[in-house]
Amino acid sequence: MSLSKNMVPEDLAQELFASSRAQEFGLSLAGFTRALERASKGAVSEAAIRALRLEELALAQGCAAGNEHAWDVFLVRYREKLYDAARQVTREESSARELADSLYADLFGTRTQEGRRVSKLESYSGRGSLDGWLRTVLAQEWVNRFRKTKRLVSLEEQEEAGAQFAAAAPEVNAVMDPAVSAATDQALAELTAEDRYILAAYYLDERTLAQVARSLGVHESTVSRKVERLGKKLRKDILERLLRAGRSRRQAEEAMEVDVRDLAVDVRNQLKKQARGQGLPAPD
Amino acid sequence: MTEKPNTGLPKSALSRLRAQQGGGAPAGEHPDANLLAAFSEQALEAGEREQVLMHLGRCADCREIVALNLPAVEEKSFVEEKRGWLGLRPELMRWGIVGASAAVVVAAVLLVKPELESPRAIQNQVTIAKPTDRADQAVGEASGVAREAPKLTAGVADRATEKEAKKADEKRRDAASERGYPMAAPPPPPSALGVSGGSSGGVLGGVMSPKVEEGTGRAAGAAAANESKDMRTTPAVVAQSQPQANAPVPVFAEEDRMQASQAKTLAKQKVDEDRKMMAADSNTVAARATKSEVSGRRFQLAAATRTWRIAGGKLQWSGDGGASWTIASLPDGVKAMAVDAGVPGVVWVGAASGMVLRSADQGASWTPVKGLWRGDVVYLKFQDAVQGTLRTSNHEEWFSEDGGMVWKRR
Repeated sequence: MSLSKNMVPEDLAQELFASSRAQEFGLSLAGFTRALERASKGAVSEAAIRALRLEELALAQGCAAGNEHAWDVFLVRYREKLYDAARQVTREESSARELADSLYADLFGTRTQEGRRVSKLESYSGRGSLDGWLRTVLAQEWVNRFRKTKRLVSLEEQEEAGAQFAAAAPEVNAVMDPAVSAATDQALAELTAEDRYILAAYYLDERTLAQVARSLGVHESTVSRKVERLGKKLRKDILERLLRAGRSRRQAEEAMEVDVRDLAVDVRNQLKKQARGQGLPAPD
Repeated sequence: MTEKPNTGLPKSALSRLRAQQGGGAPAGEHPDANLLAAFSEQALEAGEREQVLMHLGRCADCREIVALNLPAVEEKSFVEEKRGWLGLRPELMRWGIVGASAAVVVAAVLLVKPELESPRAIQNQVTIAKPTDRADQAVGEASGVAREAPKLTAGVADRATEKEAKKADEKRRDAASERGYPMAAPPPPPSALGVSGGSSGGVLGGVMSPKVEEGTGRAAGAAAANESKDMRTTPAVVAQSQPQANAPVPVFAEEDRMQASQAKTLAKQKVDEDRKMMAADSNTVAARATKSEVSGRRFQLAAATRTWRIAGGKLQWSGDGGASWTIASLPDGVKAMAVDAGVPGVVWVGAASGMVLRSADQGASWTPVKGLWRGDVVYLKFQDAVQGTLRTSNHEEWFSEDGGMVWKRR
């Protein structure tokens, strides 16, 4: 049964109110219904409403409203999990504690808006588990911190790890052959969203097959087969497009294996050689 | 430039994929926490999932959030989703039955052949000792390892003849008394131990981190690896690359590998036998009794397997599928942060300050593993009997391809 926009039928709301322990967490039927409507956002089916994590939604709303019993239940269930999740995210005890404590403050609601305390728990919609939502919020906060601040890595650490000290970015913008670029873009555009996500996660983020599989809820072997299949498919598609564009097979295969970053390094090296030859200081 | 075979993604595709990152959504239009959490839990409808995937394909930050959101594998394995019998997932049930069958077989053989198991051997199991300067005790510990080895190896059903077992035993005793824990290099002579004291030559319950002795032909220790430019291998790897007259004999790892593979074979045979018994005529009393016996045995076998978790900073185990948990006994001062028991019969624990512990007897005793990683060991996982991954709070990632004998840095 499809519901009208943002309206949850009263009988459905009452039934779900009773089963979700909302009253125990200090919520009124009206408050619970509003939470359901916010969670449903637009016309959704009754089945989708019933699929929500109603008890966790009620708990979150109860905590947001400042109900003590709701907070007792929340702390018993999620306190340790929150610190464990923070440790998993930050991989360091002190940062984990700081991150978890900072989230607790947001969950409790240290900000006020129009005289009312605002808790982050109000935004929990019950689509996924509260546990998963908390981990996601933690991860978002952590990633945002990294976006804002530079990661400082000591020179000693870099040298010990065998890395050479990073050179300045090349000033020359190496550009891929436009025909190759176009053929590749067209081939990539034909991928499904999931295929693209798998390639990005596996090749760009260097996630393991197991991690990618877990994020998609499939078996590792499924992802492994997909990665292999996608590599072959892209290779074949790009090659065909380049052949149609008039390249020879050999030219096309060579062009496919050019990395723009290698081009940039080559150009920089050429500039250095030229500068030395002319007795000028080499560019960085 | 060396020609590489055409495997994986064409470089041009990689370049364009990289160049197209950041085009997923205008600033401020990233999926919110509700959507990303629901995505990770496969709780989105098809249309929404497609939209989130389209964004994730172009947004590295949101992909990072999804990756960080994934719960630790050990939590997912042992904080049960109640799916199967005794609340165990089918894969865990299979491994549980295999591991438990192996344990029963080993126990049965030990009972049948008591002459190979002496009380002294049981008493001399390797246990964790406090990190004090105990040169003489280190030798004793190493002997304890050697003495334990016969119990482990002789317990296997198809073990070689007693004579061969005794020969192997003597060999192991000699090897173990010389060089102690296989993960580290052979220890320096006792005189050097007395001098090194609490420095890098410190002793940790049979685990030695000897000082560097260049040009002696002996294995380089942790200090050598620190001085070496190549930080990507542990001392054990450096040792193995230098041919020596007394090459290190891995005391427990080799025997454990043999034991694990033989136990697997035996367990499989046992499971096959069970199946044959279960296939007997169900109408006969004997068949009913057999089924009951098998069910009972299976119940006992499954119950013999423990599941492990870290909760509240403590290592815990459950022998009843998670219905109840017991805090495991770890050496003093060890703060457990990661646990893995995916390989039957072996439990790995990662702890603060780089400590790693291994148990082959369901946590009754622990062997420390000392490597070159720094920071707390916050993740430890063995994909199978030989391949393992370890991560530290310093963002280091190490992997092993031989059951934890040698670790290399990624």
